[in-house]
Amino acid sequence: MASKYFNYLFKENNKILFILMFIGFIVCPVLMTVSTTSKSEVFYGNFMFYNFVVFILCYLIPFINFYFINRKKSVDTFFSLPISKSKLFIFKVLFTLIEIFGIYLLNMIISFLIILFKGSYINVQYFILAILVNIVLGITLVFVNIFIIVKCNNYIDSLICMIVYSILPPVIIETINVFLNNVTYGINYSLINSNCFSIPAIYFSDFSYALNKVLKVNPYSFINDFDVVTIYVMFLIGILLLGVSYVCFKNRKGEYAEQMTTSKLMYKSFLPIALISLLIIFGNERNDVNVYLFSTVIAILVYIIGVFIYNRNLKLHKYNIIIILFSVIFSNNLYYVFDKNNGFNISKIYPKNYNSLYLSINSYGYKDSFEIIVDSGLDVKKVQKFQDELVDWHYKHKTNIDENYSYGIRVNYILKNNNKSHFYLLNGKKEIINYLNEYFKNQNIKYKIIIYSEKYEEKIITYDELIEIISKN
Amino acid sequence: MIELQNVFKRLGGLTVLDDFNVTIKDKTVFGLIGTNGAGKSTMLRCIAGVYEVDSGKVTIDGLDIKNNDIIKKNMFFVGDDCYYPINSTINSLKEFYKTFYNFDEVKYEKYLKILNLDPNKLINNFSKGMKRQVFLLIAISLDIKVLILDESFDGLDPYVRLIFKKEIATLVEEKDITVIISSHNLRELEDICDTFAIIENKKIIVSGDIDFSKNSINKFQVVFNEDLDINSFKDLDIFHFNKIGRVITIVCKGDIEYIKKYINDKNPIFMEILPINFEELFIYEIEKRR
Repeated sequence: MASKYFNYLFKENNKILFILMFIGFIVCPVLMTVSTTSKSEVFYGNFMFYNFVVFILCYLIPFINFYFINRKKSVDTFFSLPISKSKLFIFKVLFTLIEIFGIYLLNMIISFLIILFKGSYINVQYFILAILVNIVLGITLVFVNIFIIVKCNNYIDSLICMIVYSILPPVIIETINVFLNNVTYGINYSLINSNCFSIPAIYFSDFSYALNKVLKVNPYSFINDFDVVTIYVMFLIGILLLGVSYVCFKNRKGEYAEQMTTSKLMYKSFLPIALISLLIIFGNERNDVNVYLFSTVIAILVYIIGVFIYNRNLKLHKYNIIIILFSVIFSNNLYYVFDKNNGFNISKIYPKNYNSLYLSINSYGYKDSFEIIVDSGLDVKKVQKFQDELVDWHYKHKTNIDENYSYGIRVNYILKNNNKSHFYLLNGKKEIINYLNEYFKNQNIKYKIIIYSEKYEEKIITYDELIEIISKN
Repeated sequence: MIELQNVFKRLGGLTVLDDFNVTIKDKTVFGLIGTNGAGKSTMLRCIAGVYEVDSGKVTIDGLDIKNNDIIKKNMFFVGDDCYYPINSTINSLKEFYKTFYNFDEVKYEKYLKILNLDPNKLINNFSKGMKRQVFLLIAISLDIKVLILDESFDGLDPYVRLIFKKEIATLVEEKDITVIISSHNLRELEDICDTFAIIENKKIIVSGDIDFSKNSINKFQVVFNEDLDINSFKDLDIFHFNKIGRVITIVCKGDIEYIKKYINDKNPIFMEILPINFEELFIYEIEKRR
């Protein structure tokens, strides 16, 4: 009987299956076939567009297939049928995956054959890898969305929460990055890679990377490699959420349909998180009281509107007022604590796993501004001590006003694994000469100077010439 | 036999069924009545397995209904507002239910013709009454032992109601099915049900055989020379007392001969015993408790 229901799902949804197959077929194989060119860039476009379509389906299809648990009418039917909730859940999940990825796989194989037939370059190994990674990440996205739908009690909340959870994790990470950049000095990179927490970001970026290898094209690509660890972790999280969804679905009560969503993991979590994130981001304006107050009011208004949407009425409860007060106090105190403790010396944390180090000293606002670049021969311990001194000077005088500074110092660490750059932007007064004397004199370093004046001039100078230039300015 | 024992159920913070007990025997048409919000639909959904009770037990032939697919295979629930997949036709709906139940195609075709329904038209385009007909048609075509109908007869025209009532009576007689019907149309229920229960204030307040219950409540219309009031009849178990001029209408429960003698002892000028119907029975039972 249970397998009869699975067969029924195919029969009942044959039109939808046909439409999905048709759309994928048009986007990829057909457009590739009718295209008069065999240029890989065009095929790249076809694949990426189809990838986007599948991405949308990872939201739409789970919503359509699990929508029934959020309506009283359908709950009355399905929960009274002689099929256990566990079997119902399993069949719905399997059918969802086949609807999206079965058809995707078929269309991709046909596209592969077309490219081969057209005689264009295609790397088979990377093609298989691209499809595999895409399916794994797509399945993860489907599992996350199923989890959200099962935890929500009505379809509007399901839609809202699916969208929020797609953007919330990277927003939280970016909030932390913005906060750390605000409370530290000199750090000018994202301490935490927010893409690692965004399935949509990884989904597109990894596929793009793979396609570059498959078709040997490189349009606008800044992706360096598969983020293998992130893919594994995301997939494991997806599996875990599927397990939780299974248990929740089995224990789900019929009376939940069309009621307020009460799960602590939905509105009750992300509304306060969104409020705190906004307050932390706006905390950057804390030096300008008017701007800061205005930003705070905006953040609170956003939270209140979220509460109204959640409750479906225009009421605020005591609990909401407490959240608002707590969030304002917390975010202000967070900044205060970090300011008081000089950012807990996070500014003095330097990467260990780097390939090369690059130092430049820029002059500000002089008639002949210049940039001095050093990219080899540096003693990293001395560079880092130099940085420490600049950081300590900044915190001692607690000012960023440019007129106090004569020079901008940029220290750039190029990391080993992915060639990404972690760089620090510091400011120094004329007194940096003393530091330069202490840390860089007598080193066997070649300094390159670029002079920006009426004519552009670039030459290699010695340490003594460097000191002379800085002294004159 | 369907039994609800000490059932407690809360919905949205409100207690809907409180220490709820009812026994529904096999091969019976059981009518469930109550005021709005009394808990009729909740009780039916607890039996159908849509809701799980918070405490207590719901059993069919001694087996707990909870997560029991085998029992559910012999049970069909028709709600007051039924679900059908988008773009369903009667035939496609039939295929859906055939996946889960044994289906009598011959009976299905027979009633499809009688009801004059087009099996290939979209159910979405049917009127409310026609949609009800579709689900009742499916219900009577299934090979089941328990049929639960939540206000399913409401909105049907008299001819169609008669068709389904006859078929249900046939099913009860020939296939020993148990039917539980809830409705606000008590005259309808009176025709088809043999047993009933009234839900009020989260519990069953009255249940039993309809005819027996009707016969145990008597309506007397009497006229007296003297001006009497309700206190003059304080020894009777009075459900309803109405006085217009000197004409008094008394509805009371008890042995009819005893009541007749009691009233006669007060020397009425005129006394008439009137029958009560199921609707009156319901109204008087509710009135007495409020």
